[in-house]
Amino acid sequence: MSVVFLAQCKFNVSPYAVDVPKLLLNSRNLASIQNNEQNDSDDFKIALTADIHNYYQELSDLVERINGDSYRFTIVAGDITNLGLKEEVETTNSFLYRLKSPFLVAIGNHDLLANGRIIYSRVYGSENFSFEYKDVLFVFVNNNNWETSGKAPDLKWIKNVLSNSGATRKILVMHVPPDDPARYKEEEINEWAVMIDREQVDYVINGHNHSPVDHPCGNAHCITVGAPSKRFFYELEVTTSGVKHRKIRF
Amino acid sequence: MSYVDHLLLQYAGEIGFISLGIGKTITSKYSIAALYGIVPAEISKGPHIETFTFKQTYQFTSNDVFNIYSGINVFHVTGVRYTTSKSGKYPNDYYEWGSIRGILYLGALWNLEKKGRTSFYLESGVNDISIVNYATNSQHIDPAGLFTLAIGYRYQFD
Repeated sequence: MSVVFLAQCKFNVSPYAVDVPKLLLNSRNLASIQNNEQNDSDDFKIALTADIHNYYQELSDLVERINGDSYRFTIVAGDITNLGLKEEVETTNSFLYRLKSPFLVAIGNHDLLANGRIIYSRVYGSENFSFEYKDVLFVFVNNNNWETSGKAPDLKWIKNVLSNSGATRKILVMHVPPDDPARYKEEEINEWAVMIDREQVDYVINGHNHSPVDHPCGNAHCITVGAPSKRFFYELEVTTSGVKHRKIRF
Repeated sequence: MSYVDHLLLQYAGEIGFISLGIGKTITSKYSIAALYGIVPAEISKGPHIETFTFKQTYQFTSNDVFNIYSGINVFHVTGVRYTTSKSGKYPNDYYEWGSIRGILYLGALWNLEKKGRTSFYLESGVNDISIVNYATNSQHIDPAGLFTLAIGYRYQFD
Protein backbone atom coordinates (compact mmCIF):
# COMPACT_ATOMS: atom_id res chain seq x y z
CA MET A 1 0.00 0.00 0.00
CA SER A 2 2.85 2.36 0.78
CA VAL A 3 4.32 1.64 -2.66
CA VAL A 4 0.99 2.51 -4.30
CA PHE A 5 0.87 5.73 -2.29
CA LEU A 6 4.42 6.71 -3.20
CA ALA A 7 3.73 6.03 -6.86
CA GLN A 8 1.14 8.82 -6.84
CA CYS A 9 3.51 11.38 -5.33
CA LYS A 10 5.64 13.71 -7.41
CA PHE A 11 9.07 15.24 -7.04
CA ASN A 12 8.08 18.93 -6.91
CA VAL A 13 11.07 21.24 -6.95
CA SER A 14 9.15 24.37 -5.95
CA PRO A 15 5.53 25.44 -5.54
CA TYR A 16 6.53 28.54 -7.55
CA ALA A 17 7.70 26.69 -10.63
CA VAL A 18 5.77 27.51 -13.77
CA ASP A 19 6.27 24.25 -15.66
CA VAL A 20 2.73 24.19 -17.00
CA PRO A 21 1.73 23.19 -20.53
CA LYS A 22 0.76 25.93 -22.96
CA LEU A 23 -2.94 25.17 -23.04
CA LEU A 24 -4.28 28.60 -24.09
CA LEU A 25 -7.65 27.52 -22.80
CA ASN A 26 -9.42 30.80 -23.54
CA SER A 27 -8.53 30.56 -27.24
CA ARG A 28 -9.41 26.88 -27.43
CA ASN A 29 -12.73 27.36 -25.67
CA LEU A 30 -13.50 30.44 -27.74
CA ALA A 31 -12.97 28.41 -30.90
CA SER A 32 -15.41 25.88 -29.52
CA ILE A 33 -17.96 28.64 -28.76
CA GLN A 34 -17.71 30.23 -32.20
CA ASN A 35 -17.34 26.98 -34.11
CA ASN A 36 -21.03 26.43 -34.60
CA GLU A 37 -22.14 30.05 -34.33
CA GLN A 38 -24.10 30.10 -37.58
CA ASN A 39 -26.17 27.11 -36.53
CA ASP A 40 -26.58 28.16 -32.88
CA SER A 41 -29.82 29.85 -31.90
CA ASP A 42 -29.68 33.63 -31.54
CA ASP A 43 -31.08 33.40 -28.00
CA PHE A 44 -28.59 32.07 -25.50
CA LYS A 45 -27.60 32.17 -21.84
CA ILE A 46 -24.23 32.64 -20.16
CA ALA A 47 -23.34 31.67 -16.59
CA LEU A 48 -21.20 34.09 -14.58
CA THR A 49 -19.04 33.46 -11.56
CA ALA A 50 -15.75 34.67 -10.07
CA ASP A 51 -13.42 34.40 -7.09
CA ILE A 52 -13.04 30.65 -6.99
CA HIS A 53 -9.97 30.87 -4.67
CA ASN A 54 -10.21 27.54 -2.85
CA TYR A 55 -14.00 27.28 -2.59
CA TYR A 56 -13.85 23.89 -4.28
CA GLN A 57 -16.84 22.40 -2.49
CA GLU A 58 -19.01 25.28 -3.68
CA LEU A 59 -17.42 25.24 -7.14
CA SER A 60 -18.27 21.57 -7.51
CA ASP A 61 -21.90 22.30 -6.65
CA LEU A 62 -21.93 25.28 -9.02
CA VAL A 63 -20.59 23.20 -11.90
CA GLU A 64 -23.34 20.67 -11.28
CA ARG A 65 -25.95 23.44 -11.24
CA ILE A 66 -24.62 24.99 -14.47
CA ASN A 67 -24.51 21.61 -16.16
CA GLY A 68 -28.16 21.11 -15.24
CA ASP A 69 -29.14 24.02 -17.46
CA SER A 70 -28.33 24.98 -21.02
CA TYR A 71 -25.66 27.68 -20.88
CA ARG A 72 -23.77 28.48 -24.05
CA PHE A 73 -20.65 29.15 -22.02
CA THR A 74 -19.47 30.21 -18.56
CA ILE A 75 -17.40 33.26 -17.65
CA VAL A 76 -15.16 33.27 -14.58
CA ALA A 77 -14.30 36.88 -13.74
CA GLY A 78 -10.91 36.26 -12.12
CA ASP A 79 -9.29 35.09 -8.89
CA ILE A 80 -9.20 31.40 -9.62
CA THR A 81 -6.33 31.11 -7.15
CA ASN A 82 -5.22 32.51 -3.80
CA LEU A 83 -1.52 32.80 -4.53
CA GLY A 84 -1.05 32.46 -8.29
CA LEU A 85 0.35 28.96 -7.93
CA LYS A 86 0.43 26.17 -10.47
CA GLU A 87 -1.19 23.67 -8.08
CA GLU A 88 -4.11 26.06 -7.52
CA VAL A 89 -4.70 26.59 -11.23
CA GLU A 90 -4.60 22.84 -11.82
CA THR A 91 -7.08 22.19 -9.01
CA THR A 92 -9.52 24.88 -10.20
CA ASN A 93 -9.25 23.62 -13.77
CA SER A 94 -10.02 20.07 -12.65
CA PHE A 95 -13.46 21.38 -11.64
CA LEU A 96 -13.97 23.68 -14.64
CA TYR A 97 -13.19 20.83 -17.01
CA ARG A 98 -16.34 19.13 -15.74
CA LEU A 99 -18.48 21.87 -17.30
CA LYS A 100 -20.40 20.56 -20.28
CA SER A 101 -20.08 23.89 -22.08
CA PRO A 102 -16.91 25.98 -22.63
CA PHE A 103 -15.56 28.41 -20.07
CA LEU A 104 -13.55 31.64 -20.32
CA VAL A 105 -11.41 32.99 -17.48
CA ALA A 106 -10.42 36.60 -16.77
CA ILE A 107 -7.34 37.34 -14.68
CA GLY A 108 -7.75 38.44 -11.06
CA ASN A 109 -5.47 40.20 -8.61
CA HIS A 110 -4.64 36.97 -6.74
CA ASP A 111 -3.82 35.26 -10.04
CA LEU A 112 -1.05 37.81 -10.59
CA LEU A 113 0.81 36.99 -7.37
CA ALA A 114 4.11 35.11 -7.35
CA ASN A 115 4.63 33.79 -10.89
CA GLY A 116 0.92 33.67 -11.59
CA ARG A 117 1.10 35.99 -14.56
CA ILE A 118 3.30 33.52 -16.42
CA ILE A 119 1.02 30.62 -15.49
CA TYR A 120 -2.10 32.51 -16.62
CA SER A 121 -0.52 33.39 -19.96
CA ARG A 122 0.35 29.74 -20.64
CA VAL A 123 -2.81 28.14 -19.31
CA TYR A 124 -5.40 30.70 -20.42
CA GLY A 125 -3.71 33.12 -22.83
CA SER A 126 -3.92 36.89 -23.22
CA GLU A 127 -4.97 39.03 -20.29
CA ASN A 128 -6.83 41.38 -22.64
CA PHE A 129 -8.87 39.93 -25.43
CA SER A 130 -12.17 40.42 -27.21
CA PHE A 131 -14.49 38.48 -29.43
CA GLU A 132 -17.92 38.76 -30.98
CA TYR A 133 -20.59 36.11 -30.72
CA LYS A 134 -24.13 36.50 -32.00
CA ASP A 135 -23.76 40.26 -32.43
CA VAL A 136 -22.49 40.65 -28.85
CA LEU A 137 -19.00 42.03 -28.23
CA PHE A 138 -17.24 40.59 -25.19
CA VAL A 139 -14.15 42.41 -23.95
CA PHE A 140 -11.99 40.76 -21.28
CA VAL A 141 -9.69 43.17 -19.47
CA ASN A 142 -6.87 42.99 -16.93
CA ASN A 143 -7.66 45.88 -14.62
CA ASN A 144 -5.64 44.69 -11.61
CA ASN A 145 -3.63 47.88 -11.40
CA TRP A 146 -1.74 47.15 -8.19
CA GLU A 147 -0.47 43.73 -9.18
CA THR A 148 0.38 44.36 -12.81
CA SER A 149 3.72 45.76 -13.81
CA GLY A 150 2.81 47.78 -16.83
CA LYS A 151 -0.45 49.34 -17.83
CA ALA A 152 -3.62 47.92 -16.33
CA PRO A 153 -6.25 48.64 -17.43
CA ASP A 154 -5.18 49.53 -20.96
CA LEU A 155 -7.94 52.06 -21.54
CA LYS A 156 -6.68 53.04 -24.99
CA TRP A 157 -6.98 49.43 -26.16
CA ILE A 158 -10.42 49.05 -24.59
CA LYS A 159 -11.75 52.25 -26.20
CA ASN A 160 -10.37 51.11 -29.53
CA VAL A 161 -12.05 47.73 -29.36
CA LEU A 162 -15.37 49.19 -28.24
CA SER A 163 -15.49 51.97 -30.82
CA ASN A 164 -14.38 49.74 -33.71
CA SER A 165 -17.02 47.11 -33.05
CA GLY A 166 -20.31 47.15 -34.90
CA ALA A 167 -21.89 44.73 -32.42
CA THR A 168 -25.31 45.64 -31.12
CA ARG A 169 -24.52 44.60 -27.54
CA LYS A 170 -21.29 45.15 -25.59
CA ILE A 171 -20.20 43.37 -22.43
CA LEU A 172 -17.04 44.16 -20.48
CA VAL A 173 -15.51 41.51 -18.22
CA MET A 174 -12.85 42.34 -15.64
CA HIS A 175 -11.97 41.35 -12.11
CA VAL A 176 -11.94 44.55 -10.06
CA PRO A 177 -15.00 46.83 -10.13
CA PRO A 178 -13.99 49.80 -12.28
CA ASP A 179 -15.41 52.17 -9.66
CA ASP A 180 -13.40 50.70 -6.77
CA PRO A 181 -12.34 53.81 -4.80
CA ALA A 182 -9.61 51.87 -2.97
CA ARG A 183 -7.76 51.17 -6.21
CA TYR A 184 -8.71 53.96 -8.60
CA LYS A 185 -8.53 57.70 -8.38
CA GLU A 186 -11.66 59.75 -8.92
CA GLU A 187 -10.56 60.85 -12.39
CA GLU A 188 -9.92 57.22 -13.38
CA ILE A 189 -13.37 56.19 -12.18
CA ASN A 190 -14.91 59.08 -14.13
CA GLU A 191 -12.99 58.12 -17.25
CA TRP A 192 -14.44 54.60 -17.02
CA ALA A 193 -17.97 55.94 -16.52
CA VAL A 194 -17.69 58.28 -19.51
CA MET A 195 -16.32 55.49 -21.72
CA ILE A 196 -19.02 53.01 -20.68
CA ASP A 197 -21.75 55.50 -21.57
CA ARG A 198 -20.15 56.85 -24.74
CA GLU A 199 -19.45 53.38 -26.13
CA GLN A 200 -22.92 52.19 -25.12
CA VAL A 201 -21.71 49.27 -23.03
CA ASP A 202 -24.60 47.12 -21.84
CA TYR A 203 -22.99 45.20 -18.99
CA VAL A 204 -19.87 45.48 -16.87
CA ILE A 205 -19.16 42.12 -15.24
CA ASN A 206 -16.64 41.90 -12.42
CA GLY A 207 -15.66 39.94 -9.32
CA HIS A 208 -13.27 40.85 -6.49
CA ASN A 209 -15.94 41.54 -3.90
CA HIS A 210 -17.30 38.19 -2.82
CA SER A 211 -20.87 39.31 -2.16
CA PRO A 212 -22.95 39.40 -5.34
CA VAL A 213 -24.55 42.70 -6.17
CA ASP A 214 -25.85 44.38 -9.31
CA HIS A 215 -26.88 47.95 -9.96
CA PRO A 216 -27.28 50.36 -12.83
CA CYS A 217 -24.09 52.24 -13.66
CA GLY A 218 -24.91 55.06 -16.00
CA ASN A 219 -26.72 53.53 -18.94
CA ALA A 220 -25.18 50.11 -18.29
CA HIS A 221 -25.68 47.43 -15.67
CA CYS A 222 -22.80 46.58 -13.36
CA ILE A 223 -22.71 43.12 -11.86
CA THR A 224 -20.33 41.96 -9.16
CA VAL A 225 -20.96 38.26 -9.60
CA GLY A 226 -19.64 37.23 -6.21
CA ALA A 227 -17.80 34.14 -5.06
CA PRO A 228 -19.26 30.61 -5.11
CA SER A 229 -18.91 30.66 -1.31
CA LYS A 230 -21.97 32.94 -1.22
CA ARG A 231 -23.96 30.30 -3.08
CA PHE A 232 -25.08 32.61 -5.88
CA PHE A 233 -24.16 32.97 -9.53
CA TYR A 234 -25.49 35.19 -12.29
CA GLU A 235 -27.06 34.40 -15.59
CA LEU A 236 -27.09 36.64 -18.62
CA GLU A 237 -29.82 35.91 -21.12
CA VAL A 238 -29.23 37.31 -24.59
CA THR A 239 -32.16 37.49 -26.97
CA THR A 240 -32.86 39.43 -30.14
CA SER A 241 -34.71 41.98 -28.03
CA GLY A 242 -31.90 42.61 -25.55
CA VAL A 243 -29.87 41.31 -22.61
CA LYS A 244 -31.19 40.68 -19.13
CA HIS A 245 -29.61 39.27 -16.00
CA ARG A 246 -30.73 37.07 -13.16
CA LYS A 247 -29.15 36.26 -9.81
CA ILE A 248 -29.57 32.57 -9.02
CA ARG A 249 -29.07 30.68 -5.78
CA PHE A 250 -27.51 27.24 -5.96
CA MET B 1 31.44 21.28 20.55
CA SER B 2 30.85 21.98 16.87
CA TYR B 3 27.96 24.07 15.64
CA VAL B 4 27.57 21.95 12.54
CA ASP B 5 27.85 18.18 12.44
CA HIS B 6 26.26 17.12 9.19
CA LEU B 7 25.81 18.09 5.57
CA LEU B 8 22.65 17.65 3.50
CA LEU B 9 22.14 17.46 -0.25
CA GLN B 10 18.54 17.17 -1.38
CA TYR B 11 16.59 16.87 -4.62
CA ALA B 12 13.05 18.32 -4.76
CA GLY B 13 10.75 18.33 -1.73
CA GLU B 14 9.55 21.78 -2.88
CA ILE B 15 12.65 23.54 -1.56
CA GLY B 16 14.71 23.43 -4.73
CA PHE B 17 15.77 21.36 -7.69
CA ILE B 18 18.95 20.93 -5.68
CA SER B 19 19.41 22.10 -2.08
CA LEU B 20 22.55 22.14 -0.03
CA GLY B 21 22.61 22.60 3.72
CA ILE B 22 24.35 22.21 7.02
CA GLY B 23 22.84 20.83 10.19
CA LYS B 24 23.28 20.26 13.85
CA THR B 25 22.13 17.27 15.88
CA ILE B 26 20.58 18.71 19.03
CA THR B 27 19.64 15.45 20.76
CA SER B 28 19.79 11.81 19.65
CA LYS B 29 16.35 12.28 18.10
CA TYR B 30 16.12 15.96 17.13
CA SER B 31 18.18 17.84 14.59
CA ILE B 32 17.98 21.09 12.67
CA ALA B 33 19.46 22.26 9.41
CA ALA B 34 19.60 25.26 7.11
CA LEU B 35 19.48 24.73 3.36
CA TYR B 36 19.78 26.85 0.27
CA GLY B 37 17.98 25.57 -2.80
CA ILE B 38 17.87 26.64 -6.40
CA VAL B 39 15.63 25.92 -9.33
CA PRO B 40 17.34 27.06 -12.53
CA ALA B 41 15.18 28.84 -15.06
CA GLU B 42 15.47 25.86 -17.40
CA ILE B 43 13.81 23.66 -14.78
CA SER B 44 11.22 26.12 -13.44
CA LYS B 45 10.33 27.09 -17.04
CA GLY B 46 10.28 30.64 -15.80
CA PRO B 47 12.30 32.69 -13.35
CA HIS B 48 15.25 31.29 -11.47
CA ILE B 49 13.95 30.38 -7.98
CA GLU B 50 15.97 30.60 -4.77
CA THR B 51 14.74 29.07 -1.53
CA PHE B 52 16.02 29.31 2.03
CA THR B 53 14.83 26.50 4.29
CA PHE B 54 14.95 25.81 7.98
CA LYS B 55 14.59 22.07 8.43
CA GLN B 56 13.58 20.35 11.65
CA THR B 57 13.66 16.60 12.07
CA TYR B 58 12.46 14.32 14.83
CA GLN B 59 13.59 10.71 14.54
CA PHE B 60 11.20 8.12 15.97
CA THR B 61 13.51 5.11 15.82
CA SER B 62 17.14 4.47 16.76
CA ASN B 63 18.38 1.67 14.54
CA ASP B 64 21.77 1.18 13.01
CA VAL B 65 20.61 0.97 9.42
CA PHE B 66 17.03 2.14 8.87
CA ASN B 67 15.13 4.87 10.73
CA ILE B 68 11.83 6.72 10.42
CA TYR B 69 11.47 10.39 11.14
CA SER B 70 9.13 13.33 10.75
CA GLY B 71 9.66 17.03 10.48
CA ILE B 72 8.65 20.47 9.35
CA ASN B 73 10.43 22.57 6.75
CA VAL B 74 9.86 26.29 6.95
CA PHE B 75 11.01 27.99 3.78
CA HIS B 76 11.17 31.37 2.13
CA VAL B 77 11.35 31.98 -1.58
CA THR B 78 13.11 35.19 -2.51
CA GLY B 79 11.64 37.69 -4.90
CA VAL B 80 8.08 36.42 -4.68
CA ARG B 81 5.69 39.37 -4.63
CA TYR B 82 3.27 39.17 -1.78
CA THR B 83 2.49 41.37 1.11
CA THR B 84 5.01 44.10 1.30
CA SER B 85 4.49 47.32 -0.55
CA LYS B 86 8.16 47.49 -1.43
CA SER B 87 7.63 44.62 -3.85
CA GLY B 88 4.32 45.87 -5.22
CA LYS B 89 2.07 48.86 -5.36
CA TYR B 90 -0.47 47.53 -2.90
CA PRO B 91 -0.67 48.40 0.80
CA ASN B 92 1.15 46.38 3.45
CA ASP B 93 -0.74 43.35 4.76
CA TYR B 94 -3.16 43.39 1.84
CA TYR B 95 -2.57 39.71 1.23
CA GLU B 96 -2.96 37.24 4.07
CA TRP B 97 -0.35 34.76 2.91
CA GLY B 98 3.26 35.76 2.91
CA SER B 99 6.35 34.27 1.33
CA ILE B 100 7.06 32.04 4.36
CA ARG B 101 5.72 28.58 3.66
CA GLY B 102 5.79 25.21 5.40
CA ILE B 103 5.94 21.52 4.63
CA LEU B 104 5.09 18.67 6.97
CA TYR B 105 6.89 15.48 6.03
CA LEU B 106 7.60 11.89 6.94
CA GLY B 107 10.95 10.40 6.04
CA ALA B 108 13.01 7.25 5.98
CA LEU B 109 16.78 7.24 6.46
CA TRP B 110 19.14 4.48 5.32
CA ASN B 111 22.66 4.38 6.72
CA LEU B 112 25.03 2.98 4.13
CA GLU B 113 27.00 1.23 6.82
CA LYS B 114 26.22 0.49 10.45
CA LYS B 115 26.65 3.71 12.43
CA GLY B 116 28.39 5.11 9.42
CA ARG B 117 28.70 8.65 8.24
CA THR B 118 26.75 8.45 5.01
CA SER B 119 23.00 8.06 4.66
CA PHE B 120 20.32 8.43 2.05
CA TYR B 121 16.81 9.57 2.79
CA LEU B 122 13.41 9.64 1.15
CA GLU B 123 10.72 12.06 2.32
CA SER B 124 7.06 12.50 1.49
CA GLY B 125 5.50 15.78 2.50
CA VAL B 126 2.52 18.04 2.10
CA ASN B 127 2.69 21.82 2.05
CA ASP B 128 0.65 24.27 4.10
CA ILE B 129 -1.68 25.34 1.30
CA SER B 130 -2.47 21.76 0.39
CA ILE B 131 -3.28 21.02 4.03
CA VAL B 132 -5.65 23.99 4.23
CA ASN B 133 -7.29 23.14 0.91
CA TYR B 134 -7.81 19.53 1.92
CA ALA B 135 -9.12 20.46 5.38
CA THR B 136 -11.75 22.75 3.84
CA ASN B 137 -12.59 20.61 0.81
CA SER B 138 -11.88 17.02 1.84
CA GLN B 139 -14.68 15.54 -0.25
CA HIS B 140 -13.39 17.10 -3.43
CA ILE B 141 -9.63 16.78 -3.21
CA ASP B 142 -7.72 13.56 -3.71
CA PRO B 143 -5.27 13.43 -0.78
CA ALA B 144 -2.79 11.26 -2.68
CA GLY B 145 -2.19 14.08 -5.13
CA LEU B 146 -1.14 16.48 -2.38
CA PHE B 147 2.06 14.74 -1.37
CA THR B 148 5.45 15.50 -2.85
CA LEU B 149 8.71 13.60 -2.63
CA ALA B 150 12.31 14.41 -1.85
CA ILE B 151 15.45 12.32 -1.88
CA GLY B 152 18.64 13.33 -0.20
CA TYR B 153 22.08 12.50 1.01
CA ARG B 154 23.37 13.13 4.51
CA TYR B 155 26.98 13.17 5.56
CA GLN B 156 27.71 13.15 9.30
CA PHE B 157 30.99 14.82 10.22
CA ASP B 158 31.13 13.64 13.85
